[in-house]
Amino acid sequence: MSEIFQNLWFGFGVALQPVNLLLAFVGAFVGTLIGVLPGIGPVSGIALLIPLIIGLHPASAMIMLTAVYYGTMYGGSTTSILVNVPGEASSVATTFDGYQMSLQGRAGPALAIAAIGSFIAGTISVVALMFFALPLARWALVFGPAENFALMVLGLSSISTLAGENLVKALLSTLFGLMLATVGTDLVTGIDRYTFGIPQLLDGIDLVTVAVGLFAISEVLLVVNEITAQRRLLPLQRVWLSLKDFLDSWWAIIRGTVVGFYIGILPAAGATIASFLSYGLEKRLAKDPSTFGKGDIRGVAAPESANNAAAVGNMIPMLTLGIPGSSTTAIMMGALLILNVLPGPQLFSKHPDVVWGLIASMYVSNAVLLILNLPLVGLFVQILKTPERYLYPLIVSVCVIGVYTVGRSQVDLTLMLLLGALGYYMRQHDYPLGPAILGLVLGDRMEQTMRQALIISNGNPATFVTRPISGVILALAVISLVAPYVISAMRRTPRVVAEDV
Amino acid sequence: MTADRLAAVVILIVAVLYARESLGFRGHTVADVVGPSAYPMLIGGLTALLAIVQLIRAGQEAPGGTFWARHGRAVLFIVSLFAYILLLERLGFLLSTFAYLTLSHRWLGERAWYRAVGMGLAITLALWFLFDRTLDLRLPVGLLGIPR
Repeated sequence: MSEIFQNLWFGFGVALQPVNLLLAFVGAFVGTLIGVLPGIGPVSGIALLIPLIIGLHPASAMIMLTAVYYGTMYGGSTTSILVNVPGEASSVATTFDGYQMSLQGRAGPALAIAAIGSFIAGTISVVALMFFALPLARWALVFGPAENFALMVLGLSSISTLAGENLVKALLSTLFGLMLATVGTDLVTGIDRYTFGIPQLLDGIDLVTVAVGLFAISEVLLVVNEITAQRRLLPLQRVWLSLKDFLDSWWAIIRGTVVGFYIGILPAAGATIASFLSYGLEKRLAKDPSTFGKGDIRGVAAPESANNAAAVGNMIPMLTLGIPGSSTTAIMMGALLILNVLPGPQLFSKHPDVVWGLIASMYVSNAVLLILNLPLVGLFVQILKTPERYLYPLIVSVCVIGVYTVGRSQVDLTLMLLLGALGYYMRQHDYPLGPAILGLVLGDRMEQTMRQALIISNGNPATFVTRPISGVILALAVISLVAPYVISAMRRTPRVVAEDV
Repeated sequence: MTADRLAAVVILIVAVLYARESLGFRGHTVADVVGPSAYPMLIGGLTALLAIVQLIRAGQEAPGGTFWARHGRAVLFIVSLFAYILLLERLGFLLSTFAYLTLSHRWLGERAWYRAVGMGLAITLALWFLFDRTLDLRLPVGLLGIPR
């Protein structure tokens, strides 16, 4: 107990250093901007910032990226409420009541409760994270390569189950990411694989290139077909909240936090699922559910608290096990790997400043965003008024700059474009993009752990199943793939019987 | 053939080629019992298997409109972006970005040339000052050769 507070004290020492505090402010601002802008979401936004953080200390870099992540969520909810355009999937649930509130002239309270709910949820979840993360990391310290391999299989299989409607397509997307990860020099033997004589590919395909191409360029290609007239913007009053609004939302915030945090910890169940679940929960618990969807403030408070809490919960498997739970945490883990910091149980002993600085900076980011965003909402609304014909070419230019500065080569840019076209196809045909990013980030380590485990077992593949922890984790992975089919089959049977009667 | 079937065939071909390529990976260290080709074989094999599943299960779909009506602007966008990428190092950041932005503003619906050009120039300079001068990311100099 006292150990946790000591660590947190140490973390605040890191997070409150002037440089890091400044980075948190810049990150929160840029993040909100990214969240407000169409086309760039948290994944491509964080990816574009990776070139800028390369020279930084890992703790500072993570503090900035965390602030960006938090900022994108605030920005996303702002557009959900004001223009009914969710900046990202995790704020879709916010549009249900948030936009209705705007139509009724209550945009101010909606924005305020989103900010305050996120702040409360973020603060509570960070406390919970501290208590969960350390024991989990200690437990995972005994994991060998077989266990780590099994964990990655579980992470990838559960994101495939949850990411899309079609499991086969989600798995194909995962495998595509794993294939991309094999490009480059094999670390064990030093031979080239899938480089086709292109020297720029020897170091592998860059995460920034893939994330920007697959997520940002494809998004722009998708929306460019639909550029029409100016969006309608509702007039915005002061952002304020009455005590009654706050008291009405209090329990929705608390329940949203609890639901969000636990969903966030589960591998691959991220902020989006959490926000929908908590919205549904509030609606079910309400005395009069018919007010939901018509501008009920609890309908904004619950999903906004849940998606923030889930974002914190998501950090737990990433920091302690090295298994990111969502595409956003995958890209953050990719950034850590670029900075030569390997997430996992050893992170807590090897880089305590990164871990505890990051945890403390989550508190700081929450506070920064509250200070920054309530007065700046007007500015972000102005950005939304920029005609799309100027906005999208600008976004593309920023993507080109970001990808170019990583490797200074046309090969990366061409790859970005090809992946953008592929992402455009994938988005239109229900192939989820998240699993591909997760596959790319985990691929290298997955192959290494598989080979190490087989070296230890003298080439006997049974080792993955006979080692108890690894066996259980792999069994969970199989269950996660099969369970949805079993459940839907079980549900279907009684319904048919009932209809017969 | 539906889009999903066609995709399944393409994925199957890619997976088989991917797995076949891995057969040529030679080189091993004393301890490495697995070698560099086993894992790609596994990934390629799984992909091929799933592609076959998709090939069998794919349902029908009814795409609306012709290819050009649905994807015309996206194709134009890809072509213009490719030209931008090719010219970036040759012309330099300033010239290529200015040309790309101006033309994009125009075909995305800006009727007035002076506004398309003006915004193109303003955004190009703003990006250049932010990334090249302020953040020191060294964008391609190209023809203009502005000294640092």
